[in-house]
Amino acid sequence: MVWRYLRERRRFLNPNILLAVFGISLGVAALMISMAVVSGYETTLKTTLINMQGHLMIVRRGGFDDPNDERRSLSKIKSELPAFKAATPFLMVEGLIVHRKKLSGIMLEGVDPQSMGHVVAIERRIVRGAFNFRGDDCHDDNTLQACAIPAAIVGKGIARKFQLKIGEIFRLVIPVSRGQVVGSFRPKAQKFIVRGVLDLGRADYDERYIVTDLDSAQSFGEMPGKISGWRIRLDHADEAIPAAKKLEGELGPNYWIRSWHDPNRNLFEAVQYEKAVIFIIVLLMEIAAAFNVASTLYLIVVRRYSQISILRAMGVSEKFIRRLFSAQGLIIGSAGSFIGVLVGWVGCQIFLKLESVYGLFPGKVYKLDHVNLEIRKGDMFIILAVTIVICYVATLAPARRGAKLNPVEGLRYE
Amino acid sequence: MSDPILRLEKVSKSYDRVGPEHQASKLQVLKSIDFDVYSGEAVCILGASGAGKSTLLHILGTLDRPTEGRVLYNETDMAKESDERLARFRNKELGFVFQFHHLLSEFSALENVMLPARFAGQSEAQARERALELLQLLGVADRRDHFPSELSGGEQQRVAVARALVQRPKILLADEPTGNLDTKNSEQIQELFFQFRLKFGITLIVVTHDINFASRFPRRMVLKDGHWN
Repeated sequence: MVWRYLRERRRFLNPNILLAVFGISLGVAALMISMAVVSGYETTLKTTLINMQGHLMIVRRGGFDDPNDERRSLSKIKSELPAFKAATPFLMVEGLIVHRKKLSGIMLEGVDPQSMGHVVAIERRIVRGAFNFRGDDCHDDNTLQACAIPAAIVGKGIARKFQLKIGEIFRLVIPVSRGQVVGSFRPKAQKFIVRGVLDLGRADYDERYIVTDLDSAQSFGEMPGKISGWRIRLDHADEAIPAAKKLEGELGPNYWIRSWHDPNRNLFEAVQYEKAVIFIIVLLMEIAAAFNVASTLYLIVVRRYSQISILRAMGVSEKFIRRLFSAQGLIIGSAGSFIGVLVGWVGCQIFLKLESVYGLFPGKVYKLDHVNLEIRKGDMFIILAVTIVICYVATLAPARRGAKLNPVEGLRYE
Repeated sequence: MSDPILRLEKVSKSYDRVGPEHQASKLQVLKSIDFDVYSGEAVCILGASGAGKSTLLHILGTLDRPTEGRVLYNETDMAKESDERLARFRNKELGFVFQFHHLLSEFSALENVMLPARFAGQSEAQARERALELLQLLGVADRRDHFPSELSGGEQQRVAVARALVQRPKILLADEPTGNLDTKNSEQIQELFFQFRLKFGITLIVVTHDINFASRFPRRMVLKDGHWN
C-alpha cells in the first residue's frame, strides 16, 4: 500500500517529496565526500610514513657488534611476530655537516640497498636525483674520482640550507671512539657526494636526515659489521602497534621499539578528532534535511485527512497508520541515501579530477603531495545507518499525528 | 424476542467549546440516548441539521466514543476495547457508507473494494473474486479498472457501497448515502440497500434527510436536540 502511495506518478512528482529526497541526498553526499577526504588523507599519510619508516623500528642500545648475537636476536623477533614479513638492518650515526662555512647537526643512516626494498619505499620520496648509491657514470673499472666517494641522499632541508646540488661534494664530521678509553672520542671527517634529495614530508626530518649505504656508514664510523637495529615489515600496518607492545615485553630494556604510529601519534589522533567533528557538523545538514522530511509528511497527513479517516472506518488500526507514514518517511530516506551515494561518488571523482589538475591539497601545508580519496565501507555503513535512523525519527511525530487524527472530523467533508 | 445486536445505554456526547467571552462551556450533542437494534432490522434516523444524527452514527460505528453511557454489541461493551480490537471489529462486523464516497484516488474501483478484505488478511485472489461479484451486483463491474476521478457520482457511490459490503458485515451504517446524488441515482442506491438487506440479512441503520427514502423503512427514529423525539 505504501509502495502504491509513492509509486503513483502524480505523487512521485510531488515537489515536496522530491525536495525532501533531494535534501537528504545532499546531506548524504556531503557526508560521503567529507569522510572520503579525511579517510583518504589519513591513509595517504599512513602510507607515506610507512614508506619512510617501515612498520616497526627496533634499535638495540649500543648496537650489535657480534653477528651471532645479531642473528639470535633477529630469529627471536621473527618467532615472536607471526605477521613478520621482512627486515632490513640500519646503522645510525650522529654527526655534523660542514659545508660553505656552515655547519649543522645531522643523522646519518646507513641502509642495506639489497633488503631495504622489502621493508620501506624511501625511493618514492626522492625529489631530485635518484635513489642510487653509485653514480650512473660509475662502472666497475671506473677510476673517476667521484666514484670513490661514498654517495649520500640528503633531506631537502639540508639541500636548501647548504645549497647542495646533485653531484656536489660535502663533508661530514663524526666522533669516533678512541678504542680502549671509554668515553673518549676523536673527530673524523669524510667527503660524501650528493646523489639525490629526499622530501620526507616533515621539516624536522628533512633538515637532519642523510642516507648512505650500510657499508659506507660502517667504514666511516669505524664500526665494521655493526648495526643499530632493524626496520621491519609486517603483513599489515595495523599489526604494528600491538606487535611493538609485545616485543617491548619480550626483548627487555636493552631494546627500543617504535611502530610507525608512535612518532606520529598526535597527528593521527588529530585526524581522528577532525574526522569526528566534520562528521557531526555535516550531519547537522542532514538533520536539517530530516526536518524537511517531517514537514512533507505533516503535509501529506493533513492533505490525506479524509483518506486516513476512511481507512480507520474500514478497520485500519492506529498502529497501521503510524507504520504507513513511517514507511513513507523511510522510503524518502532510503531514496535520498541511494541518490546521495551516487552524487557523493560522482562528487569524489570530480574532486579527484580537480585535485590532479589544480592540486587542492598544497603539499607544503599537508606534508603530502597527492591525496587520494578513500570511500571506506565502515564510513558508508555509518552514514547510511545514521541517515535511516534520522529519517525514521523524523517520521515519528507526523506518523503519530496521522494515527491520532479524529476520523469523525475527516469524514464530515470531502 | 432475542437480545439486540446493538444497544446504546444512556449515551451522551458533549464537546468543549469556547464562547464569545472566552468562557469554556460544553456543547451537548447527544443527551442520554437509549437505542436497541435487532439483527436484520432496517432503521432510519431522521432529524434536522445539527440534531446529532451523524454523531450518533459515528458512536454506533465505534469511530467516536460517548462522553457518558455504554455502547454494547452483542452484550460486549465497546468502551473497554483497545484500538486494535475496535479496528478489527469495524473491519469484520461493520460497513460504512458516507455522503461523500471517500474512495482512495490512487486505487482503481476494484482495488478500492478489495481494500477492507486485504486489510483483514485475505488473499489477493479471494478479495478480487468477492469484490468483482459485488461490483457486478451493483452494475459497475465494467468500470472496475477506472480510478475514482474517472467515475460519475452515482458510480462512485456504488463502488463505496461495494466496499462497505465486501467483508459481509452484520451491520451497514450509512450517513446520508444519497445526499449527494440526483433523483435517479438516489433511487437506485435506495433500492440496492433494501435488496442487499434481504439478500445478505444485513442490519441497516441509515441517517437521512430524504423523506421518501425514510418512508421505506419499517422503523423510523427522529432525533431532536440530542434526544429521541
